Amino acid sequence: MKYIYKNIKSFFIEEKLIFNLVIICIFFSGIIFNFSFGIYHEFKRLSYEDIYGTKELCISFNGLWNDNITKGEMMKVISLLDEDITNDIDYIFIVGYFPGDDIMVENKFEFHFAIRDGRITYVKDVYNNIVQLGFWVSGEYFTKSQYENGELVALCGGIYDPYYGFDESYKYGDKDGYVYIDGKKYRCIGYQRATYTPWIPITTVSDDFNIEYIAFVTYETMTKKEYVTITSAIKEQFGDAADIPDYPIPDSDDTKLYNSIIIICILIAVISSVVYAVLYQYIIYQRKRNLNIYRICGFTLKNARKLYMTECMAIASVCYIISVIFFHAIILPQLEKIYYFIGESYSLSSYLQLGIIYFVIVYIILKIMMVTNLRNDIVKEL
Amino acid sequence: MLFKIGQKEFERNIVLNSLIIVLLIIIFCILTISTSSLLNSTNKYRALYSLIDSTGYFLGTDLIINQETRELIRDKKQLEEILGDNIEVAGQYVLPGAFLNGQDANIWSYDWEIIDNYTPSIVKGRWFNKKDIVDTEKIYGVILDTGEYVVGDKVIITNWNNNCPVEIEIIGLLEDSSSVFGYMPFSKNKSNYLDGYYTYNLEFEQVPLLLLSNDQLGKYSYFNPDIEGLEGEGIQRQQKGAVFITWDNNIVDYQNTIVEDFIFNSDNNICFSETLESMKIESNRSIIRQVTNILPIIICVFVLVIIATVSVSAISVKRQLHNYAIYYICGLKWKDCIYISLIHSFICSSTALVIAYIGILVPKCMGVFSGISLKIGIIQLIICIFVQIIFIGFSLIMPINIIKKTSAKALLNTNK
Repeated sequence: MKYIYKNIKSFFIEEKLIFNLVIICIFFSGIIFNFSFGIYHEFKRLSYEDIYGTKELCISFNGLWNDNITKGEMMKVISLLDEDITNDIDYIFIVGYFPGDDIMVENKFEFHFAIRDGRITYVKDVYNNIVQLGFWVSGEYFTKSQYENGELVALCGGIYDPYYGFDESYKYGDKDGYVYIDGKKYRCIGYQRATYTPWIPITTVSDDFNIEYIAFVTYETMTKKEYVTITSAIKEQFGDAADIPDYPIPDSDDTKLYNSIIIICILIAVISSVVYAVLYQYIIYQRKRNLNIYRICGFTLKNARKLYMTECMAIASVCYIISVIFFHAIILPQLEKIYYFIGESYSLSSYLQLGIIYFVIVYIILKIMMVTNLRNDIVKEL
Repeated sequence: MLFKIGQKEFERNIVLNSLIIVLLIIIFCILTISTSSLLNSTNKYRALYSLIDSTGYFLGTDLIINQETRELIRDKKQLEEILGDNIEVAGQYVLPGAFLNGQDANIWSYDWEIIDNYTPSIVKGRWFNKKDIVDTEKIYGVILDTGEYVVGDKVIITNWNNNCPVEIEIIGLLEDSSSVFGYMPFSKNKSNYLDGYYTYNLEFEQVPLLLLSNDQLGKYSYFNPDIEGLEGEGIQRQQKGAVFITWDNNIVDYQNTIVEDFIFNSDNNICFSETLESMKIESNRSIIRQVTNILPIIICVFVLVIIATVSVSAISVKRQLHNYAIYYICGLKWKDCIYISLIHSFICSSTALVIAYIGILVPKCMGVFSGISLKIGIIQLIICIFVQIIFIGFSLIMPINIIKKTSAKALLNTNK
């Protein structure tokens, strides 16, 4: 340890310029490495949202208190859609409140359903999704006949504690296997913790249920005919109260931009590695003579490599840790103002993972440098 | 002689030089991609800038007619005649109900000002040029790349009644999901330059798109049918979609009233209208937002390029100082040593630039990089050469600095 410190000190004194360059290089590449990771995630996410967005038409309603935006009115709109359009729709997603309920997340009900042969039916894939996401607790999912026939069955939700189960004091909580919604008594056949409110068949809900949001999710990219038909029907029924998004097709220029930035991020990571390689190549070139003299004095090749490796790693780890702290405390808050998803990319575990990747890269570069520069034959070397 | 020594220096440190070349290749690639991305994100605005920077209106129309004759407007001249002197029109037209090889299709045409200002993304072939517009032998068209057509193909368009076949020669294939000049009544208005663009996606539209030049169509009688033409003779055209109405600043008040009367006339179905003044303000805001999105990445690339260039040139020079001292003792002047350093850096950076550009051009010609913004243009090349000059400059400054402070003997002692 003492020699490592001494060697680093002498490196600083004898090669001030190169030492400073090494420090600056590691510091900035640490920042850039972390930054490019966040940008990569940001643009991957945007690219994914663009692709996913082509299959989804989400309409929110400005007039939540407008009594016209109800399940009954919405069903009129849906019933006007041609069968070839409803068959192309994988499912319809509705969010809303029962009349008289306060507008808060604890009272927000969600429905997933499809229209097949002119009838409202269930969507089995939703069950598979919540199981996959870990939101399914126990029991059975709706059956097709329960959903289509409007049986009073529910998949109870609410505030779930793994030890105590669901909070019974909650208005829409399970009470001895039953739940009371809009004056009706529903039998709990299953339990989920994806939402606070229970999931119930939309076929059991009265027509005056207020709708806040509706999404049409298609199997394939939505076609112009589908988009225009659905949006025209909604516009006609609800007028300006419906906030209809632009057609969901991403521009090829945007896609290209996202791809370009993803590639730039990867190249930045590669460039950082090559800069290290060049710097360490120089350091080993400078230290080669010293290390070989140590070896003549009894130092083994293994020890010489270990000494060089530890010195470089010591400098790299100190600079890298400082750069990560600097990035997290100063740069990230600024970036969050520009990039919407970037903050989600960083956590203690992601910093640790990035750190491991970083040091593995440094280790590999150093190993290559040592193998190519420090050989067994000292006489030839000198 | 000095060039030979410079070359020898390059060969002597082949490992380090190879690393430097790899580093510079990546730097040039990053610079080319990031410059292309930056230019691409402002490309659409720059294309329409000359129109947006005028006084006037941008309209998104569904149906406009001549109030006196009750005829549909089918070209710019007709509209300019209605609006009066000093008014200029540039816009989009459609051939309603026309068929392409007997199938449904969207067939649009543009005024020359639009064709000249904006070139959409072409996969194969080319965009229209001035010669095409004056050609009276053939009608040229650019079609969406659906996989059915190749450049040079001839397609037939017919009217709503499948009559009056007209042959169109395909000169270019348009990239799917690319932006074309146009406005759709269902588009969400953004009040900026993006209102003038429409993303045409085959999966969404379900029918191909054929683009033509409205000036060229105007020369053929069968594209100028009279009202009777609707009964089966000729192919109808009408102004529909995006249109710019511009005028000089010294337009007289009464003419301004004519334009406004025309825009807000109830017989015309105009979905969207925006003054170019406010469109310009919103467009500038939108561009600033877009550039702000890329700017941190560009800054990051710039910082990395500077650090990498300085580090690499410093190391490269440091490694050679020992040899320069020997050359000096053998009779070479310090100036010549600096010249050797310059040749060495020039060889390294030029090799890297050539390899990087070959590495970009060859796969690009094979269509490998079609998914990213990558263009080799003058600006990209200038930026790369600028970085090359920085690299060479540092390689010159370093030895000058070191040589000034130390003697050849000291250099030989410290750089053993």
